[in-house]
Amino acid sequence: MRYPARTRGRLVLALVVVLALVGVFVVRLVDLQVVRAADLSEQAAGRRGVESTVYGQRGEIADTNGIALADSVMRYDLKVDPANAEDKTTRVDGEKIVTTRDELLAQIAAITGGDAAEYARTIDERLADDPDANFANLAKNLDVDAYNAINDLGIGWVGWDTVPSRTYPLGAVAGNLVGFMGTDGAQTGLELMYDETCLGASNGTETYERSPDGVRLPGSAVTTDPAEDGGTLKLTIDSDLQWFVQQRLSEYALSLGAQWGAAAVVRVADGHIMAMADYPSVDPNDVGSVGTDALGSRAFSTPVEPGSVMKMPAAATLLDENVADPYTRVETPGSWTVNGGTINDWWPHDTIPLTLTGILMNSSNTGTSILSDKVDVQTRWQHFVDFGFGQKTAVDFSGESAGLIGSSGASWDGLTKYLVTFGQGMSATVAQIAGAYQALGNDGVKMPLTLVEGCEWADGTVTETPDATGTRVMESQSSVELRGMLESVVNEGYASSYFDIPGYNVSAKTGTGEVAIDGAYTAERTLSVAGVAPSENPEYAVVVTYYRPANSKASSSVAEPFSKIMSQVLQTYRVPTSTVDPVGYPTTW
Amino acid sequence: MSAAPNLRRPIAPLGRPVAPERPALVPVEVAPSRAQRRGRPRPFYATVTLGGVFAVVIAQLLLSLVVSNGAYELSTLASDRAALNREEQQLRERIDVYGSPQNLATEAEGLGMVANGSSAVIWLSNGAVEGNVSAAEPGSGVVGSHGNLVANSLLAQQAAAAAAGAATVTPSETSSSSEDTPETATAAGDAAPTMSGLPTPATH
Repeated sequence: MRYPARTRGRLVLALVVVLALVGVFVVRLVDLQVVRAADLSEQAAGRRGVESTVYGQRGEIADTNGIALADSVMRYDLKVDPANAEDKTTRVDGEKIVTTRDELLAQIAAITGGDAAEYARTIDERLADDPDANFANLAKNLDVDAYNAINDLGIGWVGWDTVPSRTYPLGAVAGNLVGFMGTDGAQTGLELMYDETCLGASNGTETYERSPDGVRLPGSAVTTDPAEDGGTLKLTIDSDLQWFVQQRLSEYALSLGAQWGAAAVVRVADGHIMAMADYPSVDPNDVGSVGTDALGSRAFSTPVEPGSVMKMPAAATLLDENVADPYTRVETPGSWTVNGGTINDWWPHDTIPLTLTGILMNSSNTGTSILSDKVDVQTRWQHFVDFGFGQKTAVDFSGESAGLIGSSGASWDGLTKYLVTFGQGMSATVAQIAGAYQALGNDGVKMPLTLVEGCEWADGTVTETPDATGTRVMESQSSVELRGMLESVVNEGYASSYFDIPGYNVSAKTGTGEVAIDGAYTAERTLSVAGVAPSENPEYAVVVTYYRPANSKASSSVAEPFSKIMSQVLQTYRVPTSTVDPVGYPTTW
Repeated sequence: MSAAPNLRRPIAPLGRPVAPERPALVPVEVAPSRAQRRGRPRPFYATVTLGGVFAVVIAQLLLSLVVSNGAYELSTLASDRAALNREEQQLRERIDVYGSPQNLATEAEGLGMVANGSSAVIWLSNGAVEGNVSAAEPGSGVVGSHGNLVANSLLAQQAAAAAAGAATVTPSETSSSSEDTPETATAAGDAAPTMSGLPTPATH
């Protein structure tokens, strides 16, 4: 139908207006999307938003009771804006007070403990390089107190960089095990060993838009990269006992004048290390204060010729192979010439009648060698290897040594095959000796030596759990008899007056190893005592070793620190006192 | 209706037909039919629609105001939380260091505690006492004559900072205790200042 003319006119007019509007929009659209597109994208990119780092937290290292040995904290680096570093003008009671830049720097230096003149120099040098410089670093690793104090000064041209950092609240307690961090990450110890599998964290980024007055625009936060925290590394170490063992070890190291010392406390039931102490110890907060050779754990890394503590696995071999028992009689000479060499006892004597018990009690090298001759070298070598010698312990500590036991029985020459029975001609670490005595204490079943209980993550999962399969390295009956014989060492041996662990039966062995320097044996000694308690049902094994003590060459001097440590261990873990008498095998005949 | 050209009617110069004379028109009110009445647009619905549109616009405005306010509040709370986190971390660090075995042992012996090296047990089942029952010697401790040999540089730092803080707390103590009752102010005046919460250890 045809509209009247007026209506048609209005319709046409309306259509024209609408088309005009559409035209304007199309022009604008083309202008924005095509003509100015590149320019606007560039502007938008510049204002995409603020990117902030979300810090992932490095995992904690904790002892068996959850006490933190290594903790992650935030520290602050102080930076200044050299181009705008100027005097501060304030009004107090209507009076204008001007604090010069150098006075402000002096205030900062008073808080940080730095040198104000050096700060001024840093700023001036930066300005000399680049008059528009906006960044110069003044101080690093300041804590929250300094952060708050400097902020309170109200200086407009200082700023902060947040730096994730590491602190070790217990200082040198387990310091040799924990390790420390350097400028490029973990340097040594557990910090390095478990850096990738447990402790390491990664930072994330978060982008958000910000209003001109610095407030986050709501709903604009976009996490482009989630942060990942590390897991908590739980150790088997008991930090209080660790301190006690370190304290005792250090005390006696000073009075013996030893070059270094190490002590281990192992729970025999599962091979968990309750304490592994080194002297000298290192405080990871203050690494520069000790020499580099004190930075690791000598208990794991430095093997020694242990001396007569090796008579224990040698005797275990004899008992297992049924060539001897505690009553076996031997005419024991004071010195024995064999295969072109001479084996001497530590005390000169004529041939005396000793049982195997007496041989162990007196620590007779000749007696042990004569009896060991009844077993072939390969079997003897295999027994030593079963006890863990010649290979690293299951801990596989950073820098751990496997010691030396020879590649097979055949590798032992005519003299070495006797020397090894009293701990010469072979070498072992304190950790390996502790592992061997753990087997003695656990009724002959050797458990993998364990330092780490596991890595606990925030969601409750636990990784890095240790292997807990035991291997039988000695008959149960042999273990019982051997512990009975070693009671005589403590109660009747030449060091018996130095052993003092009242209330318990203790099975232990002393060791005085000769130290070879440049291929020849010297008058230097390595003194050790290793043992388990209570003898009738052992719960803990303790080993104490001192290397090259200046003030004593007798292992009886180590019986005292051994006794103190063993007493403390038994008391700490509430071990019931012994109610049976020691076995008391005959020592002579 | 089609207007067929009537050539007998007078035609104006521009070709527009001129209406023939008619009698004067009398205005007549045309009553709308029912259908027309129903079809007429109602003001009520228009008001409601427009009112609704305005309400939505105003509500949007108010909501965005509230959200912006909230953003400022969030910003303040976030910075408060950051400050509290820093304080918590600092206090936790201090507690961990004061709880280190070196400090506990030295402090315990400083208070006069002794350690008993011998072990004895009481069996609760029958009251039997076993082991070596002997009293601790006076002065027998775990630290020993050399003093603590297990270093802790954080402990030394904290003790030094606490000692420095203690020196400055004493003069201002009487003024800062204005919130406390007068009795506590006078009582604390002669004792070592403990306003900071943790007692300052004597540096060993």
